Amino acid sequence: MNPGVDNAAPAAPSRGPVGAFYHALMQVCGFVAGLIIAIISVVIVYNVVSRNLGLGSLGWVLEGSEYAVAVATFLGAPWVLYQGSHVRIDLLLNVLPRAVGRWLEALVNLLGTLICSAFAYFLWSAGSEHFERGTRVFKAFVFPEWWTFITPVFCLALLTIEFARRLWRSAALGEI
Amino acid sequence: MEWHLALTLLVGGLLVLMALGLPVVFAFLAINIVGAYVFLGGEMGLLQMARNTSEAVTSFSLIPIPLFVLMGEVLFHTGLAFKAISAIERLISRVPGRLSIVSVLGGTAFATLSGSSIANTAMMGSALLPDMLKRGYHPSIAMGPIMAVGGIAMLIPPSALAVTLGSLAGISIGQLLVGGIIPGLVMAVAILGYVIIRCMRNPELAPADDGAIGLSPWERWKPFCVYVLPLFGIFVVVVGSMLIGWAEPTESAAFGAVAATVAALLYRCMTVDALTRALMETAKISVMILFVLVASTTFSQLLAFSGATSGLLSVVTGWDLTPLMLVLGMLLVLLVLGCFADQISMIMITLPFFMPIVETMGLDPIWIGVLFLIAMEISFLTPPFGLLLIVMQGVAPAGIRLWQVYQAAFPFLILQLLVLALIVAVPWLAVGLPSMMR
Repeated sequence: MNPGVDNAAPAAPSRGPVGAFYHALMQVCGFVAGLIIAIISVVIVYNVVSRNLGLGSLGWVLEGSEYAVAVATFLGAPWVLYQGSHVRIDLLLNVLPRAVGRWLEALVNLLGTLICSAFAYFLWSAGSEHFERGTRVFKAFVFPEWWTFITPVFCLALLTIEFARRLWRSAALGEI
Repeated sequence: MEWHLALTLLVGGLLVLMALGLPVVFAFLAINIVGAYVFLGGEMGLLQMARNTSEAVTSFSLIPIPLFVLMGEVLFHTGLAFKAISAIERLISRVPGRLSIVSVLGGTAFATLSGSSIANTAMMGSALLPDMLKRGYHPSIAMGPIMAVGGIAMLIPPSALAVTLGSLAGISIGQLLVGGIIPGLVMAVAILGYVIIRCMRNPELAPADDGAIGLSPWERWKPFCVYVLPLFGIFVVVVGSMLIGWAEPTESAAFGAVAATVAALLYRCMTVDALTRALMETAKISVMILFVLVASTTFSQLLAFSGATSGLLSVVTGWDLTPLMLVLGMLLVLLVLGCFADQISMIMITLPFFMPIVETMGLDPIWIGVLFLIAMEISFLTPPFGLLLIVMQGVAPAGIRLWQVYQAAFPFLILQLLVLALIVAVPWLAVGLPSMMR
């Protein structure tokens, strides 16, 4: 098991404009995810202190924090893949000959591309269904339900691009 | 479809994809797609799976995970934790294996301030290991205690994995966190005792080193009073507020994260760079955990809906096993799985089967939860892929081979198994403190 494998090093020294934009986008995703977590902690503490001092409680904190953690997770996931840090079991990769291992790595990236693109499609379809029906969430916040699919679709689309980039990179380097 | 075929498709397919090297979360997502199509009614099932996915991490009970991680990362990246370790080091002198003892005490102290075993091991390894090896400590007595004590962060609150387990198993998170305290301390005492006895019997393992001699008592105690005692205030805030029922685990975790940041500001250790690194590292570790949970709801639903859970459950209950034999069986499954899988995968693969058994047999869920945590702690050290073994090799100086890391961990692995047996034999050690909260 390895949480820190980086098979397609993200920080190549020379990047074209597209690569630079992509790198910046990933970094922003990671930073915003961290920032959201920090903001959640401050808001919850403010709410508890305010409640105990008799200044009243912010009714939206609970629900807002739930959505915020979900957004942070979906924003951060592509960046974590870009860093090569999603947990994986590389038992087979380590024992196979290098050339075979590269093919297996390519297969993994192909599978990742297919899985994420399929998931992105299903999320998009589910979100579209809510959009067409005009369903709304009625809790502390009232808003169209399809909004809850925005970051998951964005996340899975970026994950698809990242797996495809890794696959393309292997092919471009002549590894497969 | 027969339940055993469904089980083979879902669990077998998952294990094959994981073995290929597909990151764990994507292996779960792939199986969810296949399972949803087969068992949840084709296209409708796939749309239901998509809805589950977007809702899976929208849960208040999961919020402590990033907040507990943030606590430890702030203390780590601002250097405050290193100052606390140095302060503890100054107090320990004229004992065999002095720096190994410092690593155990420092690691246990940091476990009370950090929710992440990885951060704990990485910090202790980078702070103490080079110095220990330079002073001629044998790699086994230098690395072993650091790895062993690293896992204690999972038991002693705050613990991100305890929150994950409690949330997914439907066990009271506050009680599970408090239930880990005594087993965590028992583990620390066992490791400490082993290090002292081993270094006394074989002084060559750890060359004599008197530490900070020639200092006045105040000079020795001052860093402890300045850097360690105030930091324990954070632990008191986190655990105390839960124990007396003033705060939910989520709220206490938020207090811990903010208190760690305020402490770093007061000690003038906080810089923009340190804060940025702490936030990015928090995001990375939290997302690693939370994103796997995205797939959890659907996977559990599929196991239940396909009949795999009830089928396996009826077979197991048909064996007329005693509760103790069932507990030992569950632990055996976890220990074997732990040799190959990460902690979140262990939780997600086994919980859908274990919790119905726990319920049917009327076992105390807190006891089982704590045993689960200890089994996961042990899995950090089991070759070939114990996570802390890999982290240790990452922070160890060049020249340390992986087999040396395995060798160093082995005695502590046995020690942890003995503590696990103790908690099985004396459940009060796990459920005594939480029962005071009920």
